[in-house]
Amino acid sequence: MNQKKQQEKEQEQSLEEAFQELEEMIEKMQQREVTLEESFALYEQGIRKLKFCNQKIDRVEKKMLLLNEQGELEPLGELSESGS
Amino acid sequence: MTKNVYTVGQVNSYIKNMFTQDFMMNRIYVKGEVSNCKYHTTGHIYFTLKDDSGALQAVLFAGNRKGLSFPMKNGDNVIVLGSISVYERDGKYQLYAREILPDGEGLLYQRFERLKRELEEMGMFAPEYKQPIPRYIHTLGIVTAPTGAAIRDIQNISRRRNPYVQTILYPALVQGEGAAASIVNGIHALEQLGVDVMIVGRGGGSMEDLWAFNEEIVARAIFECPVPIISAVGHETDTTIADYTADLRAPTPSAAAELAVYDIRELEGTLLSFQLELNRNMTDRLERAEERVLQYEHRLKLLSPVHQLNEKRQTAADLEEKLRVKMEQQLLQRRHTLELLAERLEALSPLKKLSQGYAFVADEQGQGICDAGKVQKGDILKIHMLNGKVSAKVEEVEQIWAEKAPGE
Repeated sequence: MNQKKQQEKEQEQSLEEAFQELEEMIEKMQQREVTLEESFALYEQGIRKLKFCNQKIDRVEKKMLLLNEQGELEPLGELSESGS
Repeated sequence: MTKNVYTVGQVNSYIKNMFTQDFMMNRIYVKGEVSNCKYHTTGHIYFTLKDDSGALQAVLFAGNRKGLSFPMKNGDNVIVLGSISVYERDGKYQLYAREILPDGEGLLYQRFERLKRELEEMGMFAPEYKQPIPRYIHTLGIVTAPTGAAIRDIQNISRRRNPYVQTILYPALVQGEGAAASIVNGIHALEQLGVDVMIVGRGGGSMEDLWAFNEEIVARAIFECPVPIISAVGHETDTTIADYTADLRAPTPSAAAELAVYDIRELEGTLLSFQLELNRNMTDRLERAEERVLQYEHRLKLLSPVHQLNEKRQTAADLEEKLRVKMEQQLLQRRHTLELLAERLEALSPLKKLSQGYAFVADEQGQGICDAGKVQKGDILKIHMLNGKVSAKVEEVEQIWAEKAPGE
């Protein structure tokens, strides 16, 4: 349940926030007094966070859409060269 | 029917009242050409506005001089904002000016300045109202003309930087009649659709062409929009009211696209560098741990019984060697002493004396004889010499001294 909450929280997280967390993890890893166990935990967290970031990036190519007067979306043809 | 007679003053006062109660007369823009312009020493400016059909007396009192920001002269075409009222003493009506603007392009500029000042005073340009532009967006709304350079530039740059971002165009009228309303509709429609960021703008043009972006309804729609808006109107040098109320002003539509759409390769680079950094840190940490293990291993080895035993063996061997050396030294020393003593002993040896021609005389029992008094004729004496002994019979005894020989 706790983990589910955690995942939900992650889903809402932006890439910028995720990057911020990664920076913090790396900084923590660089501290001398961090134990090996903590390092492993941080590393695992970091890799998971990176995976999350990668999943967050939608890699489907998009075509420009046109929003018409009726508030409907329609595909946009090639843009003409003329006009202001 | 009663005939009422009024004084001049009453009539003028009545007419004046009519003017002051008229809404339009209290705030009116009048345009015309300046003539009879007189700058009075009191600071008031008296002039006549005229056009082909007639003339109108006008005055700008010294107290309103800040409403005139250019050196007005005869022949100028101007627009005067003021009220029309009656000057009771002369029974003449005239235009009391509050603000005088040059007509034409200059007027647009004055309108621009006035609206800018008004909105600025309302705080609509204040930085605290600016929304941050999210860095990594999924959808980008664009309000601009469907034809022309602006949308093409935005599309090209957006596609080049990140083809995965969904761009949605609201085709708007960007100049002429109804342009401002069309732009406002576009902002509302895209807001309703729910885009992450909007670009509102158009390509370059004259001040009239860009005018829709100086309209208050556009400025307000941009200001009030909860979706962050990047304005992109005309070229670098064209700044419109819309630019001031937008969350971010881009100098051109191309620049707006650069600001709105993140570069996918850059993001991939960021992710990769995070990955490398994590790996490097983990490796470093492991190496550090390994180093410590080696250190402990070394220290432990030093403390092991085998090592201790070896250490003791070594100590024993060292001691043995020391002992041996000491012993040898002692022996050598003793041998030396012995040699010294032997030499001294040799010096005292009787045999040595015998070798010098002396002999040792003893009786038959081997008792040494040193006293001639103890020998009698006929005694047998044993004489020891260096290389042998002789038995001899005493023939004669002659005692020289009666005393005993020393050592007897």
